[in-house]
Amino acid sequence: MSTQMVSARADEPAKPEAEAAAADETATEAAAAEETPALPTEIATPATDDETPTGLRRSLIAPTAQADAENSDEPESEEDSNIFTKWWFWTAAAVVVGGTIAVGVLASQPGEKQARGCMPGYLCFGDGRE
Amino acid sequence: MSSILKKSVLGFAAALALFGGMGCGEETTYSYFTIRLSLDPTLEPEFLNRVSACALEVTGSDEAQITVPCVGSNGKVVPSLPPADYSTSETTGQLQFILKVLDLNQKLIAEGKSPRYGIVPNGQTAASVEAKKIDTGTGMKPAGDGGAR
Repeated sequence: MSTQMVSARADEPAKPEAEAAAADETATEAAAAEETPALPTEIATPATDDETPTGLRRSLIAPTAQADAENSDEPESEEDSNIFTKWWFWTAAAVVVGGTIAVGVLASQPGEKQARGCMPGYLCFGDGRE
Repeated sequence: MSSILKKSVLGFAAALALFGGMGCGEETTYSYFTIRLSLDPTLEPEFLNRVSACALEVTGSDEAQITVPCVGSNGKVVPSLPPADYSTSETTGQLQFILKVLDLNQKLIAEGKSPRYGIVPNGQTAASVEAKKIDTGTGMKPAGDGGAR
């Protein structure tokens, strides 16, 4: 870098010392800009809730979460993949079992009607009689 | 949803069909029999004094039994036995009614058998049975003889 600058100065006519110092400073900043990656504008200029539309805030948050989910290459643990650890499984199982029992009890009630009433003075017996 | 949940749902449906079939498969129909009960009117008073209990039995396609209040609070046989009303859920076959009279030793001393009546679903059949003295062959002498040896 300094060699190039010296040769450039050698080709060009002599300049004032202040002008040369300014040019040197500009070259240093440009080099620094090349070495440091540019920060995302969203992060560089965080917006407050008051001045940022809701949609924009979502666009800032949601893609990040989605990207995290997509980038997570870690395989699901055995506990996570086990269906017996899911709350909705046990809820569904409870509904199914409870519903089956309830329906079974209701449906297994005797479907037969009672026999006709007993006339006064008669000895009534047989099926359908209490 | 997982396959386990699908299987659970299928199991629930199967149980529903099973229990539903059990509970609502068929509706019960009854056949009714009105049985007129009586004792042989020729039975002697001394014989009737030995009576302690009566029973009506049903045999054939169905079986049942009921006690007939044939002895009053005074210890004597009532003038007329109450009629019986029998109901069966059987839809086919025949029934026979047997009136039994027992003495103080629970020994059968009189009996009557009705004819066999066919079961008529939702029908009403009138029947009658009369109990007659059973010849026990014990050599018991008639009451008129005084029973003295």
